[in-house]
This record gives sequence, C-alpha cells and structure tokens, in this order.
Amino acid sequence: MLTGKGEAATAFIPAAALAEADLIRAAQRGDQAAFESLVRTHDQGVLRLACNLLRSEQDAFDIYQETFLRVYRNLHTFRFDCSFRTWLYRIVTNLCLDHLRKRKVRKEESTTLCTSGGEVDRASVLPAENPHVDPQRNLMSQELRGRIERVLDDLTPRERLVFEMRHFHGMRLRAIGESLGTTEEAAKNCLFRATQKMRTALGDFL
Amino acid sequence: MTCAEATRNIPLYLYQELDFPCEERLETHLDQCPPCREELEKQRAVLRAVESRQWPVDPQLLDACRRELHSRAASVTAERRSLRFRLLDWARSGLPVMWTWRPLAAMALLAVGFFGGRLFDRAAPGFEPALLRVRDLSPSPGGGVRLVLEEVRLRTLTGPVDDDKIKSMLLTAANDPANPGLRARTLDILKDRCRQKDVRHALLHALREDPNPGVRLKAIEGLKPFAREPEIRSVLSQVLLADDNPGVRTMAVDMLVEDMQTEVIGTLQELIPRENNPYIRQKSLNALREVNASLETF
Ligand SMILES: [Zn+2]
Repeated sequence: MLTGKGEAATAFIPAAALAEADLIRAAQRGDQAAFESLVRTHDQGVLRLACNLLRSEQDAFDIYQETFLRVYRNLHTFRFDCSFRTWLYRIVTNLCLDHLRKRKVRKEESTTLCTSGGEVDRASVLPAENPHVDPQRNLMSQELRGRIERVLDDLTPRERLVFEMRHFHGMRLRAIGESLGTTEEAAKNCLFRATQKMRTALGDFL
Repeated sequence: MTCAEATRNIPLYLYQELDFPCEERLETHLDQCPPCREELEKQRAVLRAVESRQWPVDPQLLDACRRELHSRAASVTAERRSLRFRLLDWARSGLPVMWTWRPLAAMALLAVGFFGGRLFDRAAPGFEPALLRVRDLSPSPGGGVRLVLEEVRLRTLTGPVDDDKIKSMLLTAANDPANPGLRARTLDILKDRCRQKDVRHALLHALREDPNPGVRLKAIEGLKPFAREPEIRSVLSQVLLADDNPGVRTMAVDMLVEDMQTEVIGTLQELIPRENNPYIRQKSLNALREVNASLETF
C-alpha cells in the first residue's frame, strides 16, 4: 500500500494470464483481484459439493461464504506443500461435515428440520429452491427418488462426503483422504460402505 | 478370487481405484462367473440411478455467492486497513522500523513532505541544509559518544506537472504515509489529470486505502467525471458499504444513483439496514423507489 506503484501495477495484469501459483502469491500479498480470480477457478466445484451434500441452497450459500472467507483470511499460511485444491477442499469438507453433523443432531432431536436461522437477509438474492428441473429426474419414478433420498440420508456424513467427492467431483481416493486428514485406505472404506448401503437400498428396485 | 471378494471389489473397480494386480484378478473372475457379472451391472445401475439426482448448480446462485463474497472480502480488507494504520502510527512515532524497508528516495520524500510548502515555489533547484537523524550511538574511548548519523538532503525540483519525473514524484507523494496534508494537496493537483490511467489508479487507491477522510474526499472528487465507468462504480459501491466517513459515503451515493444501474440496487439494499446517516438513507430509499426495487434485502 505504501509502495503504491508496485501494488497498482499488479491490477493491470490480466489475472487469467497468471499461473495459479502466481495468483496465489499475488493474493497472499493482498491483491483482491488475484484472490477473486482464484475463487472463480474453484468456486463452482465448491458450490456444487455444498449443494449436493446439504441439499439446500441457503446452506450451500453459507458454506460458500465461510469457505472462501477462511481462504481469504488464511491464505498467507498456505505454504504450497499440497495442491491449492486439496487445501481448499480441506476447508470446505470440514465445514460441510460440521454442518451435516449438526443437522443430524437436530434431526434426531426433533422431526422437523429447521433452517439455520439467524441471518435472514438473503431471501431475495437467492433463487427459489429447486430452480432447475432435470429432465432425467422427471423420468424417474417417485418411488425410486424417495429411496435414493432416504439412503443418502442414512449415510454417515463422512460416507456422504467421500461418495460425493469421488463420484461427482472425480477426485481420487488419495486426494480425498488428504483433504479429510485421513488415509487413502480409510477413504476407500467409506466409499465401500456408501456403495454397499446404496446397493442394499436400491438393488432390488432396479 | 472368490465371489465374496469379487463383490467387495466391484465398487472400487467401477471407480478405477483398484491396483493393477487386483483389477487383473477381478477381471479374470468376472470372465468366468456370470453371477458376478450380473452383480457388476447391478452396481453400475445403482450408481447411475444415484447420479441422476445430482443438483445442478444454479448460475444465479453462483452469481449471488460471488457478489456477497466480494463485499464481505472488502470488509475484511477494511478491518485489516485499520490495523495496518495503527501499525503505521507506531512506525511514524520514530521507531526505525520504516527505515529498514523504505527506499532512500521515499525517505527523501518524507523530508520533502515536511517542507512541502516550499517545494513548488522555488525558482531554481538547489540544496537545502541536510536533515540529521541519529541512527545509532555507542560510547567512545575517553568518555565521549560515537553517533551514527543519517543525513537527508533537500532538493527542490520545479517543472510542469506532466513532466514524467515530476509526475512520478507526485504519485509517490500521494502515498506518503507521514503527511496527509501533502497527500491531499498532491491529489488536488493530480485530479485534473484523471484521464491518465496511472493518475486514476492513484485516486482509486487513495479512495480505498487512505486512512485520512480528507484525502479520500479529494480522491472521490477527482473521480466524479468518471462515475459512469464500471471500474470506478465497483469501487464506489465498496466505498459506500465500507467507508466510515459519512462525507465520503454521501459523495459515493450521489455519484452512484446519478446513473441508476442494476448493480447499484443490491448495494443500496445492503446499505440501508446498516446506514445511520439520514441523508444517505433517504437518498438510497428514494433511488430504490424510483426503480421500483424492494427497499430491503429481507
Ligand atoms: Zn463370482
């Protein structure tokens, strides 16, 4: 900030032209444009993971904000000893796990699922629930859909997370283990248990 | 491989997570065992069925997320700014921390800043007496003391504002941390040249980062003719939401609603619940009413 010229100069470099490592370094120096480019390379995946895991756009919105604000606040501690994506997913998976665990507790306490409450000022920026109707979903029978929802609910938060990351995000089990702070073997077991439960719940139906 | 082992390995096989020998043994088994092949297809069908329930991410949601993050990150920056300037005050109090990283040229400017009033009305370049600063001292043999002095010489420089050297000096002076008066006067001179990219950038930088509201006001004044440009508007929105000075916010809101564009609506809706200045509130409410936008975000 005091060396105004240096800081000013970075804003004129087209952010997309910088390699990710350069973007990270620039963002670590406080360049907000670089931070936002970094966000844009990864945020769709993060939002998709949160939407699919939490099945609520409100909750996904919160997770998105919390994840990237943590990135923003803590980026200076990133030391390039793992990929940025792994580091980022460590943050988002922890937040999602917490959220799922809390929700599970709430659900067990009462049968009605309440929303997070507190801040209520986002209703107008958020589109209504279930905005897109997936044509495939229409074809699927009500019954099968119900079963899928139930079996996903029955997975433990960890099983859900590993399944989502492997199945929908195409992450390797090794990377998933790294993000969750566990081993590849443990991630493998989670994935196995998740698929077993689905097989049991849906197998005779298909 | 037994059928039980094969069944257990099928999910990992479908995800291509088996090691090579294991995959070989499974494929050999599948070749010879119709029930396990059936099981493979069954499990494949299960995963496909689950796949079809994936929620697509709504682009509007993504957009809302990005906008919200943008303004939250800006307020984190504002918090940091106040911390940074507290550190700066400490540095200014005479501790040598500044000198370790500021280049010599900037040091000279600190001194120039101190005598800044004389800078532009000197007729001929020349040398002023040196400024002295004691950097270190130690006892010397014989009971005396040995001083390490830092000398700064003052020099006057006269020329047209558009001269490259003068302009680059001015851009540096616009960032001089020790002297808000100098920063404000510098911006006053520069603001008529806002068409030039580096000048405009200096004004934007001052508007966002300068701790002194007088300097920020000068900066925003200079940007007025460009209030329709997207780059400027996005900074104005940030300023409107984050600046703690009502004068600066007043100018920002006036400039933004002058040309009411959709992106202003969200900013104003966010602003209203937290804005305590009656003029700014009223101005925002009126602007929203004019375009029939809802007055609050809830
Ligand atoms: Zn078999």
